Amino acid sequence: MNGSDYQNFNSSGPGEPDDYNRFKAAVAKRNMATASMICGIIAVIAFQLFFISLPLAGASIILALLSRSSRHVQGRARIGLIAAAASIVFTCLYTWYAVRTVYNNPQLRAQLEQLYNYYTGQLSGTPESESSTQSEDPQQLLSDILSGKFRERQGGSDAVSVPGNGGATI
Amino acid sequence: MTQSFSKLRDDSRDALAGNYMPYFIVLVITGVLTGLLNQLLSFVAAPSGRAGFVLLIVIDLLLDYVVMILAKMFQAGQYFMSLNIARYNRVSVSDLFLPFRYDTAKAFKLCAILALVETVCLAPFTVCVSNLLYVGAFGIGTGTAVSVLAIFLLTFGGIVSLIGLELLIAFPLSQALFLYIDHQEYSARECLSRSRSLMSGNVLGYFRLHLSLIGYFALCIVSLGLGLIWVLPYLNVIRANYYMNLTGTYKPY
Repeated sequence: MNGSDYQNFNSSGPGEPDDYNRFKAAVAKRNMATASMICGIIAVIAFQLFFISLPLAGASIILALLSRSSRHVQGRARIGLIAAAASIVFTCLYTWYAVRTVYNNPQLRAQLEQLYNYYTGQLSGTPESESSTQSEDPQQLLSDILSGKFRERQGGSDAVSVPGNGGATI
Repeated sequence: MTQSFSKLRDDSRDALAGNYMPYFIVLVITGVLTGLLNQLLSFVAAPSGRAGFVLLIVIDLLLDYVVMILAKMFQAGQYFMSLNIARYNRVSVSDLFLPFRYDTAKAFKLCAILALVETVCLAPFTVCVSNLLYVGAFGIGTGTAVSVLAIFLLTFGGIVSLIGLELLIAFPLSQALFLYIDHQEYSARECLSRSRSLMSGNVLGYFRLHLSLIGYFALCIVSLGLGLIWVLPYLNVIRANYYMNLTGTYKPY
């Protein structure tokens, strides 16, 4: 028995939606188109925030595609599609520009490195700061910085500026 | 097959509209329960790690297999819900627990076989990805450059082996869970054999149907997984519609 032999097994005609189901589907699709438009607009507005703009743009496109009936795309869904596409382009361009700026500027790169070292618990800087802080637990160090104990321990020394550049001298 | 793929997708979108919320709840319950079992089993098996590396790997594989059986049982529940959606029947979150309420022994047996098949299909891909991650981490750790050819071979080999094994083993058995739902009189073995006969000559078509949704999955990656809330139900309802179209069982009751 192959697929076509099985075709007539227990067949009782296609299940068609009744009027209530058609109405329910139409309302749900209109709501999805509206949601798509809202997500797309928020994605365009928040294009500077990579981790907000991109997910919203993706969700907006998916909602727009799922809200269509056959080949017909609703007006709101179309607006959502256009806004989402625009926000993806803007976000990618903006992110590319930001990365390029940081990597072409040695000062910004140094700051980025300091921040990375700070968050991974590998403080660098002057020998004083190394001797006093490198052996400490990073979480303890962070709570000390936030409570002001770290600054007190340093005795108002200029060797470490906290927390503007990640807790270390550049 | 009497309907085109485009018609299947249109029907699925129409049927699914307004039913995303119960499906979302079902997906959350599935994720939470599967994740909890995974964590629980990892916690229980953690002390055995001291016994040796090989034993640890064997236990890890067994635990993954147990979790996959549970995931398959939940998938049967999701398919039941998808069939109800596609047939415009009443939909409820309790549909998810169908394999735990009716004929649980048969459902468990069927899901154990399907989970084994899935594990075999995924194994080469998992090995390739693990090696890729290891090579990457080793390269970063030691500061040595990793060969582009090695990366390409691992990626390509993993994907090709996954697709090949899915086409050969998993896709012919893809209708077994639907048959279990619609035909309570079939045994687990019968569900598998009937699924194989149903899919003979239709495997490539079923693969093309899945391939046509690749754009949606790309969008899910862009949306950092947020899109899966809508795409997973859509995929399952398309599968349910495909099954209904293949067998003609639009109204089985």
